[in-house]
Amino acid sequence: MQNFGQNTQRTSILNELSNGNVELGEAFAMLLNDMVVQSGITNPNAEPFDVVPDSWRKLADKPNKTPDEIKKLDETFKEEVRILAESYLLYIARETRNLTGKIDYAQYEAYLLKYRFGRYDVMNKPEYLNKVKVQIRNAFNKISSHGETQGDNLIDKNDMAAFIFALSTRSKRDANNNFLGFEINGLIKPEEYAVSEHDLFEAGDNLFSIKLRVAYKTLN
Amino acid sequence: MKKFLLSIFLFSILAIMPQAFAIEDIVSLDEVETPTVTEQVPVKPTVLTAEVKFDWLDISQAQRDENIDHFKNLLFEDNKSQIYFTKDEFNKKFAQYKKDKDFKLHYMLTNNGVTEDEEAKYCAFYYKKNTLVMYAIQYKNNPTNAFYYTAFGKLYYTDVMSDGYPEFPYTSMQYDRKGQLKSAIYFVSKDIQYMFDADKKFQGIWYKDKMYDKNGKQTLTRTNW
Repeated sequence: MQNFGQNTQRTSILNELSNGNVELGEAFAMLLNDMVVQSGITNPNAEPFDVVPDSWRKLADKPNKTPDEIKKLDETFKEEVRILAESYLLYIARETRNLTGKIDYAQYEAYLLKYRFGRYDVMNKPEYLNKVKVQIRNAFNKISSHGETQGDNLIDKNDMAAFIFALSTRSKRDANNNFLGFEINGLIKPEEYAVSEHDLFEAGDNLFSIKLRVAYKTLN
Repeated sequence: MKKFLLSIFLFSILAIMPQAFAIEDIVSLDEVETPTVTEQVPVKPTVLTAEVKFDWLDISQAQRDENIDHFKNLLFEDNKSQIYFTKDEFNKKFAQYKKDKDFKLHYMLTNNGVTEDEEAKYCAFYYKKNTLVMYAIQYKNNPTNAFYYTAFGKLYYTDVMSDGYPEFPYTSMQYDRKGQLKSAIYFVSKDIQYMFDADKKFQGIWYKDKMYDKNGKQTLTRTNW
């Protein structure tokens, strides 16, 4: 096998997603889809997705971090999230023939029907298809408006970054299970993703909407 | 106009693919370190001997150019294997490999460090050494080909090795999914390979984990040698 390539540069054909890597986006899409068997139910054989490099985790585990190290952790995490978001969006754009790097509802629906729900043969099950489309619409509304009540009806790189940021956080609770906020672990675990996706597909404001809002404000 | 834009879009995707395939554990040294020369073994200019020695850094520029021409001819002119395919020929020849039906299994295997099982040898390609973005399969019942797949099991590249494989020397041609030649490599030995692009332009010579250009300047390193 030719275990080597010719060029280390990676480019995106979409200026809007110039930091994206379509193969990374595809890998992320595949692993994400593999995390759930049905909405809210985890695939026990799925593997977690590490949003951050080992160096980030190593530094995060270090006790008594300096302010500079904390700043570095924050910046690195955001940068990794943005690259992953552009990569994921680039993959969706490629699969849906999108040329702007901003995904509209029809494209998002087509993408999810094929890659997320294709395994259920939804196109040949009209009753199921209608329910699925409602779920997709809910998800699109949440992501495109980053958890707010209104958005621009497009999923751009900032929306997608907020989505991935939200997936990479988990709720922090005290001993009495009272909600304290969110903590970043940089790891998307199948069981946590299944819960997030379930919330994403639901109508109305919920915990994932809050995560999206917090994420969007943190990133922008 | 819409079709034209779509054509441009698709063409651009294909055009960047060789770059997209760049492996993350190959590092350009331009920004990393000053080129250094190591493992110099002074030998006579002939490279095709029973015991192949690396002398790229010791020979003159004229000798290097001569060597490049020699291996270019071996690859493109004197090669008995079929080098160029029409799209139809290529599709017909590799139809059964276009989609890896077991992509999840193979992705997970390679992602967990499996490099060989009863059926095949595997190779994993990572983004920033973190996320597996592509894997290659070399089936044991078809060792002269290697197939590179993306995460969803879509065939991206195909390697076609010459009949003598794995005995050195042999040639290895890499094609994109449409059967267009993307690169050609002459494997002198495990340690030494001459690499050319589809336009027969010399890309460099690999010696173990280092690549040198036509002037003897080190340009790349690899970790999976």
